[in-house]
Amino acid sequence: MIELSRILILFVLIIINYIFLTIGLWTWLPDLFIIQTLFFATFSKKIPNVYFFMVKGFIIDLFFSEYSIPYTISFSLIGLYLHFGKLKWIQRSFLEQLIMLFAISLILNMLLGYFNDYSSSAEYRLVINPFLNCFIWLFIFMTQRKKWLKNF
Amino acid sequence: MSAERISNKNKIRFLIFSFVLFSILLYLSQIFNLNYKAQRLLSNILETPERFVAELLEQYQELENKEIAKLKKDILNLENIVYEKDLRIKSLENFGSYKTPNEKQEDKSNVYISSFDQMNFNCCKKHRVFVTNPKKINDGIFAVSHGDFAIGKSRILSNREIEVRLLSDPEEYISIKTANDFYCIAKGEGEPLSISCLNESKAVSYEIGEIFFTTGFDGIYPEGLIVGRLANIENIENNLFRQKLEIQLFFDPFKSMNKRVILHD
Repeated sequence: MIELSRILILFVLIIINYIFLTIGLWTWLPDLFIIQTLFFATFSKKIPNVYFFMVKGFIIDLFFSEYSIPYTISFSLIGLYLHFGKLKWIQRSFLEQLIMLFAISLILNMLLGYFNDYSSSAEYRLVINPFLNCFIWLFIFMTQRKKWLKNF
Repeated sequence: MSAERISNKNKIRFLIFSFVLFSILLYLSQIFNLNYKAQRLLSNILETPERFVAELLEQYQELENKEIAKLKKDILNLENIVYEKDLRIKSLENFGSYKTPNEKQEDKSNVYISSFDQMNFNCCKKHRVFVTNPKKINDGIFAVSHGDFAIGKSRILSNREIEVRLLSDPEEYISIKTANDFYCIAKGEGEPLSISCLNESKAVSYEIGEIFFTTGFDGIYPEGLIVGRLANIENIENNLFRQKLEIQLFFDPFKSMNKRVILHD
């Protein structure tokens, strides 16, 4: 059931991302798939294994990239990081979380830019997107940290 | 509350399997052209609800205010007619300044623009429209025009549709000339409704507003199709004789849906 809902959510996000791309909002918004993964890592009790992340990235690449590389590599890195670490995502320091999120957003957008021929306006995403993703995490962190502290 | 611990041996195993899985997925996607197929599938799937929502909105508007809805519909229809008439006028204007070929192909097939890849047009330098393929043509390269107006060149042919690369696509080249016999090879730059070319010399004059036609030299586009109007001339630094000519295309893909087109052999 959980797997089914994950797949359904992924396809809903693919449709929303398609709409954002079509109307030109995609450049100015955070990456939906990274934000969804962030929610996963934050609120889900069990993190799926590395292969799940890789296949997820591959499916996203099929719809939004010329080559199945940018999301597949980025999500594989996310999977490896979350799976190999001794600590859960919310147990890590806020600075480490921000650095990791910024780095993975930058890698993803660089790969997307390298493997796809984006228009001049869409190229701004490389600069804007890592900051937007970090801002979303900042918001989640500020609103949820008291709950996490209680649980500890 | 700590994450599940994994031994180093398992980590190496995970890494190796991940790499193998990645290679397999990449290989499969390239061999079967999965990315292109998935993107077309998504575009086709979302086209039906898009039309359904548009119709629903129209009906809602009709319920809300029949008069306003009718006027909006009339405006849309008139805009469509104006675009068609505008193209017609440009076409007639240019009969005087340039003789269109008499042997122009009389296309009797019903080939229509069925879809426009708006996602890639907006985000990326990938400018494509799709036309129907009633004759099930599965081989060859065709120049595509909307009446006298050049659209682009066919790329991928399938039984259902033909992908047409618009002139503004960066991979597209076209040999063009003005009525004064100024020749150049223009290419798309991924900018909507625009192509550009460099002058080879200043022996033949040209000025803003002049119309460009196909020369037929490239062996794909027939001679005499109307391409666009010279919109801007840009001087190139450190070169007194070289200039970049920006040509505004007449064919607008946003207004192209369901329009009849001609495939030129």
